[in-house]
Amino acid sequence: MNRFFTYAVSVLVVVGLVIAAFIIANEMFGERIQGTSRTIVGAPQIGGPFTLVNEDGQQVTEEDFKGKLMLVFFGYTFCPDVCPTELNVFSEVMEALGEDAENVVPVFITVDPDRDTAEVIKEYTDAFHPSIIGLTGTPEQITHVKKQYRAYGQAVEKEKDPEFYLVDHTSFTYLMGRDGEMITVFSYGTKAEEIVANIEKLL
Amino acid sequence: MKDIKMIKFPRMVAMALVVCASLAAFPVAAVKAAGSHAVISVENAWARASKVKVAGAFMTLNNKSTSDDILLSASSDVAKRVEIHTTKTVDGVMKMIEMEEGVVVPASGSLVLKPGSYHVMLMGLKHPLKEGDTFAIRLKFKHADEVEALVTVMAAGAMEGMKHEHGSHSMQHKKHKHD
Repeated sequence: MNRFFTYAVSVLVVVGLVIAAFIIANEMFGERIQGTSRTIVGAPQIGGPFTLVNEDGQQVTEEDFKGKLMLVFFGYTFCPDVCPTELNVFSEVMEALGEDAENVVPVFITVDPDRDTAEVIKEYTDAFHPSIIGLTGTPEQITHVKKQYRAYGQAVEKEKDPEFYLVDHTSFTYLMGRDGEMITVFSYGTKAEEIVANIEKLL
Repeated sequence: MKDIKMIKFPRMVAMALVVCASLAAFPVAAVKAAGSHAVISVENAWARASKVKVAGAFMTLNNKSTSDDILLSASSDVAKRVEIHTTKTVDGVMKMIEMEEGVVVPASGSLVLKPGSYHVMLMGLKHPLKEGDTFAIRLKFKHADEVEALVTVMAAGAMEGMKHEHGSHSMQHKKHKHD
Protein backbone atom coordinates (compact mmCIF):
# COMPACT_ATOMS: atom_id res chain seq x y z
CA MET A 1 0.00 0.00 0.00
CA ASN A 2 2.77 2.35 1.06
CA ARG A 3 4.87 1.33 -1.91
CA PHE A 4 1.99 1.80 -4.30
CA PHE A 5 1.37 5.27 -2.90
CA THR A 6 5.02 6.30 -3.38
CA TYR A 7 4.91 4.96 -6.94
CA ALA A 8 1.69 6.80 -7.74
CA VAL A 9 3.03 10.07 -6.39
CA SER A 10 6.28 9.69 -8.39
CA VAL A 11 4.33 9.05 -11.57
CA LEU A 12 2.13 12.06 -10.95
CA VAL A 13 5.14 14.27 -10.27
CA VAL A 14 6.87 13.14 -13.47
CA VAL A 15 3.71 13.65 -15.52
CA GLY A 16 3.26 17.04 -13.92
CA LEU A 17 6.83 18.05 -14.69
CA VAL A 18 6.50 16.97 -18.32
CA ILE A 19 3.27 18.94 -18.72
CA ALA A 20 4.83 21.98 -17.04
CA ALA A 21 7.88 21.73 -19.34
CA PHE A 22 5.58 21.58 -22.38
CA ILE A 23 3.59 24.58 -21.21
CA ILE A 24 6.73 26.63 -20.51
CA ALA A 25 8.33 25.70 -23.84
CA ASN A 26 5.11 26.44 -25.68
CA GLU A 27 4.70 29.76 -23.95
CA MET A 28 8.24 30.83 -24.76
CA PHE A 29 8.01 29.66 -28.33
CA GLY A 30 4.53 31.08 -28.78
CA GLU A 31 5.46 34.41 -27.25
CA ARG A 32 8.37 34.79 -29.63
CA ILE A 33 6.19 34.10 -32.64
CA GLN A 34 3.53 36.46 -31.37
CA GLY A 35 6.13 39.13 -30.67
CA THR A 36 7.55 38.86 -34.15
CA SER A 37 4.20 38.97 -35.82
CA ARG A 38 3.22 41.94 -33.71
CA THR A 39 6.11 44.03 -34.95
CA ILE A 40 5.67 42.98 -38.55
CA VAL A 41 1.94 43.41 -38.70
CA GLY A 42 1.75 46.12 -36.03
CA ALA A 43 3.48 49.04 -37.72
CA PRO A 44 1.39 49.23 -40.90
CA GLN A 45 -1.73 48.85 -38.80
CA ILE A 46 -1.65 52.55 -37.99
CA GLY A 47 -2.94 54.54 -40.93
CA GLY A 48 -4.54 53.10 -44.04
CA PRO A 49 -7.49 53.96 -46.24
CA PHE A 50 -9.89 56.71 -45.26
CA THR A 51 -12.51 58.92 -46.87
CA LEU A 52 -12.97 62.37 -45.40
CA VAL A 53 -14.07 65.86 -46.38
CA ASN A 54 -11.42 68.56 -46.77
CA GLU A 55 -11.78 72.17 -45.68
CA ASP A 56 -13.16 73.14 -49.09
CA GLY A 57 -15.97 70.62 -48.71
CA GLN A 58 -14.47 68.13 -51.16
CA GLN A 59 -14.17 64.41 -50.56
CA VAL A 60 -10.60 63.18 -50.12
CA THR A 61 -8.99 59.80 -49.50
CA GLU A 62 -5.52 58.64 -48.43
CA GLU A 63 -4.68 58.47 -52.18
CA ASP A 64 -4.77 62.27 -52.36
CA PHE A 65 -1.85 62.45 -49.94
CA LYS A 66 0.34 59.79 -51.58
CA GLY A 67 3.81 60.95 -52.54
CA LYS A 68 3.99 63.39 -49.66
CA LEU A 69 4.85 63.03 -46.01
CA MET A 70 1.93 63.67 -43.71
CA LEU A 71 1.85 65.04 -40.18
CA VAL A 72 -1.45 63.97 -38.64
CA PHE A 73 -3.02 65.34 -35.48
CA PHE A 74 -6.49 64.61 -34.11
CA GLY A 75 -8.27 67.45 -32.32
CA TYR A 76 -11.24 69.79 -32.49
CA THR A 77 -11.72 73.49 -32.99
CA PHE A 78 -13.45 74.03 -29.63
CA CYS A 79 -10.15 73.11 -28.02
CA PRO A 80 -8.49 76.33 -26.81
CA ASP A 81 -5.33 74.94 -25.26
CA VAL A 82 -3.81 71.73 -26.59
CA CYS A 83 -4.85 72.00 -30.24
CA PRO A 84 -3.57 75.56 -30.79
CA THR A 85 -0.32 74.55 -29.09
CA GLU A 86 0.15 71.56 -31.40
CA LEU A 87 -0.88 73.49 -34.51
CA ASN A 88 1.64 76.12 -33.52
CA VAL A 89 4.26 73.36 -33.55
CA PHE A 90 3.04 72.35 -37.04
CA SER A 91 3.44 75.94 -38.14
CA GLU A 92 6.98 76.09 -36.73
CA VAL A 93 7.83 72.83 -38.49
CA MET A 94 6.60 74.13 -41.84
CA GLU A 95 8.51 77.40 -41.43
CA ALA A 96 11.70 75.59 -40.39
CA LEU A 97 11.53 73.24 -43.38
CA GLY A 98 11.71 76.16 -45.80
CA GLU A 99 11.58 74.86 -49.36
CA ASP A 100 11.35 71.27 -48.15
CA ALA A 101 7.94 72.11 -46.74
CA GLU A 102 6.40 71.32 -50.13
CA ASN A 103 7.04 67.63 -49.42
CA VAL A 104 4.99 67.69 -46.24
CA VAL A 105 1.24 68.05 -45.66
CA PRO A 106 0.21 68.87 -42.09
CA VAL A 107 -3.26 67.47 -41.44
CA PHE A 108 -5.66 68.26 -38.61
CA ILE A 109 -8.46 65.68 -38.37
CA THR A 110 -11.42 66.63 -36.22
CA VAL A 111 -12.81 64.27 -33.61
CA ASP A 112 -15.86 66.54 -33.39
CA PRO A 113 -17.48 66.46 -36.85
CA ASP A 114 -20.81 67.78 -35.54
CA ARG A 115 -19.42 71.21 -34.75
CA ASP A 116 -16.39 71.21 -37.06
CA THR A 117 -17.85 71.75 -40.50
CA ALA A 118 -15.48 72.25 -43.44
CA GLU A 119 -15.91 76.00 -43.12
CA VAL A 120 -15.18 76.10 -39.39
CA ILE A 121 -12.13 73.87 -39.66
CA LYS A 122 -10.73 75.94 -42.53
CA GLU A 123 -10.94 79.17 -40.52
CA TYR A 124 -9.35 77.40 -37.60
CA THR A 125 -6.39 75.76 -39.32
CA ASP A 126 -5.62 78.75 -41.54
CA ALA A 127 -5.13 80.86 -38.44
CA PHE A 128 -2.03 78.81 -37.65
CA HIS A 129 -0.49 78.16 -41.07
CA PRO A 130 -1.98 78.26 -44.56
CA SER A 131 -0.48 74.84 -45.36
CA ILE A 132 -2.40 73.03 -42.61
CA ILE A 133 -5.31 71.04 -44.02
CA GLY A 134 -8.34 70.49 -41.84
CA LEU A 135 -10.32 67.32 -42.43
CA THR A 136 -13.82 66.52 -41.28
CA GLY A 137 -16.47 64.05 -42.41
CA THR A 138 -19.57 62.20 -41.37
CA PRO A 139 -19.51 60.73 -37.85
CA GLU A 140 -19.00 57.32 -39.48
CA GLN A 141 -16.05 58.52 -41.56
CA ILE A 142 -14.46 60.06 -38.46
CA THR A 143 -15.03 56.90 -36.43
CA HIS A 144 -13.35 54.92 -39.21
CA VAL A 145 -10.27 57.15 -39.48
CA LYS A 146 -9.90 57.19 -35.69
CA LYS A 147 -9.85 53.40 -35.78
CA GLN A 148 -7.27 53.42 -38.56
CA TYR A 149 -4.97 55.59 -36.48
CA ARG A 150 -5.85 54.00 -33.14
CA ALA A 151 -6.87 57.50 -32.10
CA TYR A 152 -9.38 58.30 -29.42
CA GLY A 153 -11.91 61.09 -29.35
CA GLN A 154 -14.89 61.07 -27.05
CA ALA A 155 -17.30 63.92 -26.37
CA VAL A 156 -17.92 64.55 -22.68
CA GLU A 157 -21.52 65.01 -21.52
CA LYS A 158 -22.66 66.18 -24.94
CA GLU A 159 -26.34 65.81 -24.06
CA LYS A 160 -25.94 67.93 -20.95
CA ASP A 161 -24.12 70.69 -22.79
CA PRO A 162 -24.90 70.47 -26.52
CA GLU A 163 -23.33 73.82 -27.37
CA PHE A 164 -20.11 73.84 -25.37
CA TYR A 165 -19.31 70.18 -24.64
CA LEU A 166 -15.65 69.20 -24.47
CA VAL A 167 -14.00 66.31 -26.28
CA ASP A 168 -11.27 64.13 -24.80
CA HIS A 169 -8.83 63.20 -27.53
CA THR A 170 -5.51 61.55 -28.31
CA SER A 171 -2.65 63.99 -28.35
CA PHE A 172 -0.18 62.18 -30.60
CA THR A 173 1.21 63.47 -33.86
CA TYR A 174 1.78 60.81 -36.50
CA LEU A 175 4.44 61.13 -39.18
CA MET A 176 3.28 59.16 -42.22
CA GLY A 177 5.47 58.19 -45.17
CA ARG A 178 4.92 58.78 -48.89
CA ASP A 179 2.93 55.55 -49.25
CA GLY A 180 0.80 56.26 -46.21
CA GLU A 181 2.86 54.01 -43.95
CA MET A 182 3.46 55.14 -40.41
CA ILE A 183 7.03 56.26 -39.75
CA THR A 184 6.86 57.44 -36.18
CA VAL A 185 4.62 58.92 -33.52
CA PHE A 186 5.45 62.04 -31.52
CA SER A 187 3.97 62.58 -28.11
CA TYR A 188 2.41 65.90 -27.21
CA GLY A 189 5.05 68.43 -26.27
CA THR A 190 7.64 67.24 -28.83
CA LYS A 191 9.57 70.28 -30.02
CA ALA A 192 9.35 71.39 -33.64
CA GLU A 193 13.12 70.81 -34.11
CA GLU A 194 12.76 67.12 -33.31
CA ILE A 195 9.92 66.70 -35.80
CA VAL A 196 11.89 68.62 -38.43
CA ALA A 197 14.94 66.38 -37.85
CA ASN A 198 12.79 63.27 -38.37
CA ILE A 199 11.28 64.71 -41.54
CA GLU A 200 14.65 65.72 -42.97
CA LYS A 201 15.89 62.14 -42.64
CA LEU A 202 13.21 61.16 -45.14
CA LEU A 203 13.86 63.86 -47.72
CA MET B 1 -13.05 107.77 29.10
CA LYS B 2 -11.45 111.04 28.12
CA ASP B 3 -8.15 109.33 27.44
CA ILE B 4 -9.72 106.87 25.10
CA LYS B 5 -11.49 109.57 23.16
CA MET B 6 -8.25 111.47 22.84
CA ILE B 7 -6.54 108.48 21.33
CA LYS B 8 -9.43 107.50 19.09
CA PHE B 9 -9.86 110.86 17.49
CA PRO B 10 -6.40 111.25 15.90
CA ARG B 11 -6.59 107.66 14.77
CA MET B 12 -9.79 108.33 12.91
CA VAL B 13 -8.29 111.39 11.32
CA ALA B 14 -5.21 109.45 10.31
CA MET B 15 -7.31 106.70 8.82
CA ALA B 16 -9.44 109.16 6.91
CA LEU B 17 -6.31 110.82 5.60
CA VAL B 18 -4.91 107.48 4.46
CA VAL B 19 -8.16 106.62 2.73
CA CYS B 20 -8.28 110.02 1.05
CA ALA B 21 -4.68 109.78 -0.06
CA SER B 22 -5.12 106.32 -1.52
CA LEU B 23 -8.38 107.34 -3.13
CA ALA B 24 -6.58 110.14 -4.88
CA ALA B 25 -3.68 107.94 -5.96
CA PHE B 26 -5.49 104.74 -6.92
CA PRO B 27 -9.20 105.35 -7.00
CA VAL B 28 -10.20 101.82 -7.98
CA ALA B 29 -7.71 99.98 -5.82
CA ALA B 30 -8.68 101.97 -2.75
CA VAL B 31 -12.35 101.22 -3.09
CA LYS B 32 -11.56 97.56 -3.50
CA ALA B 33 -9.12 97.42 -0.62
CA ALA B 34 -11.63 99.06 1.72
CA GLY B 35 -13.63 95.85 1.96
CA SER B 36 -10.77 93.46 2.67
CA HIS B 37 -7.02 93.36 2.91
CA ALA B 38 -6.64 90.68 0.29
CA VAL B 39 -5.31 92.12 -2.94
CA ILE B 40 -4.68 90.21 -6.12
CA SER B 41 -3.10 91.80 -9.15
CA VAL B 42 -3.09 90.53 -12.69
CA GLU B 43 -0.07 90.52 -14.89
CA ASN B 44 0.61 89.62 -18.48
CA ALA B 45 -2.93 88.67 -19.42
CA TRP B 46 -3.21 87.41 -22.99
CA ALA B 47 -5.44 85.30 -25.19
CA ARG B 48 -5.03 83.49 -28.46
CA ALA B 49 -6.61 84.98 -31.56
CA SER B 50 -9.64 82.97 -32.60
CA LYS B 51 -12.04 82.97 -35.50
CA VAL B 52 -14.03 80.11 -34.04
CA LYS B 53 -16.34 80.10 -31.04
CA VAL B 54 -13.78 79.53 -28.31
CA ALA B 55 -10.46 80.87 -27.12
CA GLY B 56 -8.18 80.39 -24.17
CA ALA B 57 -6.86 83.22 -22.03
CA PHE B 58 -3.78 83.06 -19.83
CA MET B 59 -2.28 85.30 -17.14
CA THR B 60 -0.36 85.51 -13.91
CA LEU B 61 -2.24 86.29 -10.70
CA ASN B 62 -0.14 87.72 -7.87
CA ASN B 63 -1.48 87.34 -4.36
CA LYS B 64 0.07 90.01 -2.17
CA SER B 65 -1.67 88.96 1.01
CA THR B 66 -0.28 86.49 3.53
CA SER B 67 -3.15 84.03 3.17
CA ASP B 68 -4.14 81.76 0.31
CA ASP B 69 -6.98 82.85 -1.91
CA ILE B 70 -9.08 80.99 -4.46
CA LEU B 71 -9.86 82.06 -8.00
CA LEU B 72 -13.53 81.13 -8.14
CA SER B 73 -14.83 82.25 -11.52
CA ALA B 74 -14.38 84.56 -14.46
CA SER B 75 -16.67 86.45 -16.79
CA SER B 76 -16.31 88.60 -19.88
CA ASP B 77 -18.47 90.50 -22.29
CA VAL B 78 -16.76 88.84 -25.26
CA ALA B 79 -18.11 85.36 -24.50
CA LYS B 80 -21.40 83.76 -23.61
CA ARG B 81 -19.80 81.59 -20.98
CA VAL B 82 -16.44 81.72 -19.22
CA GLU B 83 -14.94 78.87 -17.20
CA ILE B 84 -11.67 78.11 -15.46
CA HIS B 85 -10.17 74.94 -16.90
CA THR B 86 -7.09 72.86 -16.68
CA THR B 87 -5.61 70.42 -19.17
CA LYS B 88 -4.62 66.91 -18.11
CA THR B 89 -3.06 64.07 -20.05
CA VAL B 90 -4.16 60.59 -19.10
CA ASP B 91 -2.54 57.78 -21.13
CA GLY B 92 -1.90 60.10 -24.06
CA VAL B 93 -5.47 61.38 -24.01
CA MET B 94 -5.97 65.09 -23.44
CA LYS B 95 -8.78 66.07 -21.14
CA MET B 96 -9.96 69.49 -20.18
CA ILE B 97 -11.39 69.70 -16.74
CA GLU B 98 -13.47 72.53 -15.35
CA MET B 99 -12.15 73.71 -11.98
CA GLU B 100 -15.55 73.92 -10.34
CA GLU B 101 -14.07 74.40 -6.88
CA GLY B 102 -11.73 77.12 -8.14
CA VAL B 103 -7.94 77.29 -8.12
CA VAL B 104 -5.72 78.33 -5.22
CA VAL B 105 -3.70 81.52 -5.55
CA PRO B 106 -0.99 80.91 -2.92
CA ALA B 107 -0.24 83.46 -0.21
CA SER B 108 2.56 85.89 -1.19
CA GLY B 109 2.84 83.95 -4.42
CA SER B 110 1.30 83.59 -7.83
CA LEU B 111 -0.93 81.37 -9.88
CA VAL B 112 0.20 81.11 -13.49
CA LEU B 113 -2.40 80.32 -16.12
CA LYS B 114 -0.53 79.07 -19.20
CA PRO B 115 -0.90 76.72 -22.18
CA GLY B 116 -1.04 73.07 -21.14
CA SER B 117 -2.20 73.98 -17.66
CA TYR B 118 -4.79 76.30 -16.14
CA HIS B 119 -6.58 78.63 -18.52
CA VAL B 120 -9.64 80.80 -18.76
CA MET B 121 -11.89 79.20 -21.35
CA LEU B 122 -13.98 81.69 -23.30
CA MET B 123 -16.93 79.82 -24.80
CA GLY B 124 -19.32 81.21 -27.38
CA LEU B 125 -17.28 84.20 -28.52
CA LYS B 126 -19.57 86.99 -29.63
CA HIS B 127 -17.02 88.13 -32.21
CA PRO B 128 -13.66 86.82 -33.41
CA LEU B 129 -10.61 87.78 -31.33
CA LYS B 130 -8.08 89.53 -33.55
CA GLU B 131 -4.40 89.82 -32.83
CA GLY B 132 -3.71 93.16 -31.14
CA ASP B 133 -7.25 93.54 -29.74
CA THR B 134 -7.76 94.01 -26.02
CA PHE B 135 -10.74 93.05 -23.89
CA ALA B 136 -11.59 92.65 -20.22
CA ILE B 137 -12.05 89.54 -18.09
CA ARG B 138 -13.48 89.94 -14.60
CA LEU B 139 -12.10 87.55 -12.00
CA LYS B 140 -13.84 86.62 -8.77
CA PHE B 141 -11.94 85.42 -5.72
CA LYS B 142 -12.97 83.92 -2.43
CA HIS B 143 -11.34 86.67 -0.37
CA ALA B 144 -9.95 89.38 -2.60
CA ASP B 145 -12.31 91.70 -4.41
CA GLU B 146 -13.17 91.27 -8.04
CA VAL B 147 -10.34 92.20 -10.38
CA GLU B 148 -10.59 93.22 -14.00
CA ALA B 149 -7.84 91.91 -16.25
CA LEU B 150 -7.07 93.69 -19.49
CA VAL B 151 -6.30 90.92 -21.96
CA THR B 152 -4.20 91.40 -25.09
CA VAL B 153 -4.92 89.13 -28.05
CA MET B 154 -1.80 87.43 -29.42
CA ALA B 155 -1.39 85.22 -32.53
CA ALA B 156 -3.53 82.08 -32.76
CA GLY B 157 -0.58 79.82 -32.00
CA ALA B 158 1.11 82.06 -29.44
CA MET B 159 2.70 80.30 -26.48
CA GLU B 160 3.11 83.36 -24.31
CA GLY B 161 2.01 86.94 -23.96
CA MET B 162 4.03 90.11 -24.33
CA LYS B 163 7.40 89.16 -22.94
CA HIS B 164 9.54 92.25 -22.31
CA GLU B 165 9.39 94.37 -19.15
CA HIS B 166 6.33 92.76 -17.67
CA GLY B 167 7.88 89.35 -17.23
CA SER B 168 11.16 90.45 -15.67
CA HIS B 169 9.37 93.02 -13.57
CA SER B 170 7.27 90.43 -11.84
CA MET B 171 10.30 88.29 -11.09
CA GLN B 172 11.98 91.23 -9.37
CA HIS B 173 8.87 91.97 -7.41
CA LYS B 174 8.69 88.45 -6.17
CA LYS B 175 12.33 88.41 -5.12
CA HIS B 176 11.91 91.59 -3.14
CA LYS B 177 8.95 90.09 -1.36
CA HIS B 178 10.83 87.00 -0.30
CA ASP B 179 13.81 89.00 0.86
